[in-house]
Order: sequence, then C-alpha cells, then structure tokens
Amino acid sequence: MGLTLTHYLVLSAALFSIGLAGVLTRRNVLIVLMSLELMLNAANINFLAFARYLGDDAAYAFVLFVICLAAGEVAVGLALLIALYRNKETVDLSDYNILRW
Amino acid sequence: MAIAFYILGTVLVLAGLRVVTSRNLVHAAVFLVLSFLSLAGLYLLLGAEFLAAVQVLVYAGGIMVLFLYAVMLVSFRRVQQMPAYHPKQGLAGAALAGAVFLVLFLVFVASPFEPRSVRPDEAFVASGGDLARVADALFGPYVFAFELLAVFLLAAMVGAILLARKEV
Repeated sequence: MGLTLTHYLVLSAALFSIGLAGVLTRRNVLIVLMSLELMLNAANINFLAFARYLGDDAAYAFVLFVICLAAGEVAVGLALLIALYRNKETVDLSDYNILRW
Repeated sequence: MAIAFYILGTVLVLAGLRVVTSRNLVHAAVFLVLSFLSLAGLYLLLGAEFLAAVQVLVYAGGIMVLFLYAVMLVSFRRVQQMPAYHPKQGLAGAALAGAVFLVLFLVFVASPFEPRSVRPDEAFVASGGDLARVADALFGPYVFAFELLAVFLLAAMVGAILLARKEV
C-alpha cells in the first residue's frame, strides 16, 4: 500500500489550518496575504489528489485557474497595501480603521 | 515514493508554520518560497510535471518578487516594533484553526475512500501526463472560463497600476 488519497487530504488540511491561523492571529497585513497564499495552495493539493483518485482530467485546469487567480489577487492586494501605506504609514491591520465609525 | 512524500510534507508544514510565526518579514517570505518549492515537489509526486513548473515560475518566481518588493517598501523598524499578534483574538484564532484541522482530520480519516494508490501510473504518463489534460480542458469544455481568466488578469493589472499610482 503506497500513498493514498487520505495522506494528501490530511497534509492539505494541515496547510489550510496553518494559513487560517495566520490570517486570524497576525496583525501584519503582509503576513496575512502570505497566509492566504498557503490556504489557496492547500486547495491545489486537494484538486490534484482527487484528480488522480477519480481519474478526472478537469481538475488539472482548475489548478491552473487557482494559480492565475492567486497571482491576480496578490497583485491587487499589494497595490492596495501600497496605497494604504502611502496614507497611513503602517502595515498593522488594527490601524486600518478609517472605514469604521 | 512514500519517503519523498513524508520529507516534502514535513518541510511544507514546518515552513508554513515559520511563515505564520516569524516576526521578520523577509524570513517569512523566504520560508514562503520554501513551502512553494516543496509544494512543487508534491505536484511532481502526483504526476503533474507541468503544474509543478508553473508553480515554481508563478509562485516562487513572480509572486515572491511582488512580496519582496512590498516588504522593501515598508519601514523595517516599525514592523519590528509593532505587536505580532492580535492580543485576545490571537488565542481564539489559533484555537479555531486547530479545531478546524481536528475536524478536517477526523472527517478525512473516517471518510470511506478506497485505500488505492494515487501514484501516476504508466497509462497516465503515456497519455500525455497533466499537460495534455490541461490543454484538453482549457481548449475544450472550459474555453469560456479560460477567456474570462484573460480578462480577469487584464483587469487585475489595470487595477493594480491604478491603485499603486501616486496621484489618482
């Protein structure tokens, strides 16, 4: 018995939870963005493992879609960060409270 | 093969933990590269050579350059001085993430998946591997999503340039 689907699923669950912990606990907005990337990659492992398990070919294209969306998300997210940093001079999420009243 | 999976998995989890816990932004970025590279290795184990190459090019190449660029723009001293975690929400968040992992683990272990190997076999490689499957899907049933993705990337590029410009 070699590597089964469950091995990959548990690994991706671990990676997803690590990313979730980063998003929920860290105050630095850059670390939060990095943790989001970890969570997206956990989904990719699941896609590929299920593609092999079920013999479904469409999942390979979905992984490519996820990678593309992650790239776009990071580009826009970091542009937003630069615009925010120019106005607030901080990367602390707790200081981004202009929209709160 | 199994030993490669365990080594890559351990590296991936440890690097991910360091990304989430390190105070220094550059350290976090470097450990993020390490986790992306071990992910590419895991894709290779699943027979996805093309996607492993894309992972290295896009994530370890492109996305990391963006991150390092943003890290260099922010003040190093101010980042070192600010508190790393939310004071009370931090504990609750970590507990929630641990609970999510526990639930997912129990569900996956209890799920009735057949314990058959997911290693890529001869027939998979002979029929073109993942590259042929990506191409068939992108230019077959998902051609509309593919075109939409091109529009999305254009919109993201224009949006990023507009947002990061000095005067809007």
